[in-house]
Amino acid sequence: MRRGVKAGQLKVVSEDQIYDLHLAVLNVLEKHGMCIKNETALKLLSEAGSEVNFKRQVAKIPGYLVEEAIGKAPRSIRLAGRNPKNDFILEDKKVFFRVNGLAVNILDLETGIRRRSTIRDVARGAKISDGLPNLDSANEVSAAMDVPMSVVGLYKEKAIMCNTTKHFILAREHGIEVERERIRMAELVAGGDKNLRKRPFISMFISPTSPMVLGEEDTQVIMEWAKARLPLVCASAIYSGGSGPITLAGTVVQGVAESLAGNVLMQLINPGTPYIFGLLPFVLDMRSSAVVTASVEASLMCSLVAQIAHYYGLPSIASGGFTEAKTLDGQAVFEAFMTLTMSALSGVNLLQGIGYLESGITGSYEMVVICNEIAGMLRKFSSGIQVNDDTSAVEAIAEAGHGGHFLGLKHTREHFFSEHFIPELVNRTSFEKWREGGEKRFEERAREKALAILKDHHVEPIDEDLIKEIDLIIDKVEKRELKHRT
Amino acid sequence: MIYMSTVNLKEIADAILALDAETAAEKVKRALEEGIDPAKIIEDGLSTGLKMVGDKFENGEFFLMHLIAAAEAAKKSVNELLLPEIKKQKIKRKVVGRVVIGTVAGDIHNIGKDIVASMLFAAGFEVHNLGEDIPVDEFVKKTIELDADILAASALLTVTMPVQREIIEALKKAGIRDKVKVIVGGAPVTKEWADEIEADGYAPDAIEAAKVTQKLLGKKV
Repeated sequence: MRRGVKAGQLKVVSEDQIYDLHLAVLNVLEKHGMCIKNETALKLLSEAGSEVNFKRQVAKIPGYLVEEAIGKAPRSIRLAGRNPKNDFILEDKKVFFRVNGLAVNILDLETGIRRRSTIRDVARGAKISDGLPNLDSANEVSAAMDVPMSVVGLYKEKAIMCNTTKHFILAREHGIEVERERIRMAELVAGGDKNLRKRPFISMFISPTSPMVLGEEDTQVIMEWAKARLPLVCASAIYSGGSGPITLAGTVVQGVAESLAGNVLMQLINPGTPYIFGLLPFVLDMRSSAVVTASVEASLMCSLVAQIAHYYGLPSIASGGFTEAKTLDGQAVFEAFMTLTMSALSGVNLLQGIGYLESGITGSYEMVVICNEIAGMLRKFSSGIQVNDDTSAVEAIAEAGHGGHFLGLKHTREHFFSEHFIPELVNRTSFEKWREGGEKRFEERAREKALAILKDHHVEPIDEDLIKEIDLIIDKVEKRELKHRT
Repeated sequence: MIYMSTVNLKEIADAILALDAETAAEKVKRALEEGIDPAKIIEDGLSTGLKMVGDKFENGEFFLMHLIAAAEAAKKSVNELLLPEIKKQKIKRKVVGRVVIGTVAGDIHNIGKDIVASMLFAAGFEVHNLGEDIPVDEFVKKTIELDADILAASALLTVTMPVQREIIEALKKAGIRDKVKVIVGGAPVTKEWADEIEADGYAPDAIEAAKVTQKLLGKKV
């Protein structure tokens, strides 16, 4: 099992203010309502007590339904890997890190060229995430732009599952007919739906369309995954000032409302189905009209999301690792560090945004490696300082004597590994040693590590027979989708 | 009479600068009642106001939200008061160009596209915002129907980006590819993609989109 260090030291609002925000969320859902573009979902909400306008497709969800649904959602969610040693439990204020699959381009590891991402890159991204110890959930980093778009999700799923034994999260790419097949593929590998449900090695990420809309296809997938009782993240990507209010509290209120609306639907369909609450807060830059992924405002909002998640007792997701930098420079590293640190110290359960440059448009394996190092430091940071009779070192101080030293003490050997963090990428050698080593910059060392993982890391393969069956599914669905289009 | 109408039109411009949709509409209504040419009201009243707002944006005093508020204030007067009058009087309205804009089929995201639509309107274009989840045929049909100069297609998901390519193919098939300039955008859309699908223009954000569109029609920006 993968362990998460408990954080939550960073708070940005008071308890009273959390309650005020909760009331605002209930108000938005009850008085303004959520637009859900699906007849079945609207009927369910209506039957459960919501005031539904079927013509405008808006459901005004009463507070008690929202709170009931929060109550039904599990406090702890097991996200499994193909290998049980990679399972982890999302709960409380324990922090875990994931890569996702956002980018359209990839910074080519061998040439440094920024180019379109391919299915081969999907496999490489998954393998690199698999080979980095501080990443709990692996994903592809970048998209596959060279396979048929009608079934790209299936191609990606196969490539990812073959290159990692860690948990990975899918994003909706298709309509329900094809999305169902992605569950089938996973069930095949897990050895049946019961096994998959017990130890799900995949989950699904759905984003409402802000403000306050759940699209038809997204809603269908939410309902399908709830029926299958597989973990589902319902978290919007809101840009404050554009698709959400300019105020930080307002964007969080809207984001929480949108996420909880998804949960109401999920718990009505299958009470107790695993739901991951959260928000990816961004900012609309009012000078350039660009959507900004890393900012002080976004980090503040992530912290608030964590506090609200703890108040509700819900497993949560928020962003961390993003940067607007166009290249691997100081901006990239400091923005990734800032966003990861704020979210991690706030106790967000699952952080995503690792492995990008350019606001998520270009993936970078160097950034994955760099963020892995930062994640390690944050785990150490979150674990705080151990205070007990032994660590207070009264005896050791006496043993070292006046004017002595501590290097030879048993106390030092006994505690070194648990007290000090040993960085891998960070350079601490002398200048001469650094020069002798080739004067390598930080990002070059990150690149070398990524290349080493691709070369040397071994991922437990999936049984050949299962692969054949997976290929048959992909082939069948591809042909079926081709027929539909012609 | 001429002295009065000049003052009126400046007041309209000032109302736009103040981002006051209601006051602008009141004054537009009064100007129309006084028999002033609607095209002149747009030109000397609304467009002048929008230009003043644009200048303030350029020098850092105003921000995107001011641009959009001003555009929406002007749009209210144009749509509710001026267009009906122009239609009634059968006036041929002089515009920078005609734009058909929408989010492609399978995609319901709208905000970026709507910001672009507002910016183009503010720049003097006649903008037809088709909405979201728009099929390829609809894009082509409306382009022909409205004799559009610009077709702007937005895609927010990697799986819906290919529809932008399909639109260009459909324009070729319909024999009108060379009659309209195609500009593409959306979060995952890059210049390389736009070049690959042989779009005429690409922009990474709404403000650039307005500039690129104007350049495509040979306007100075």
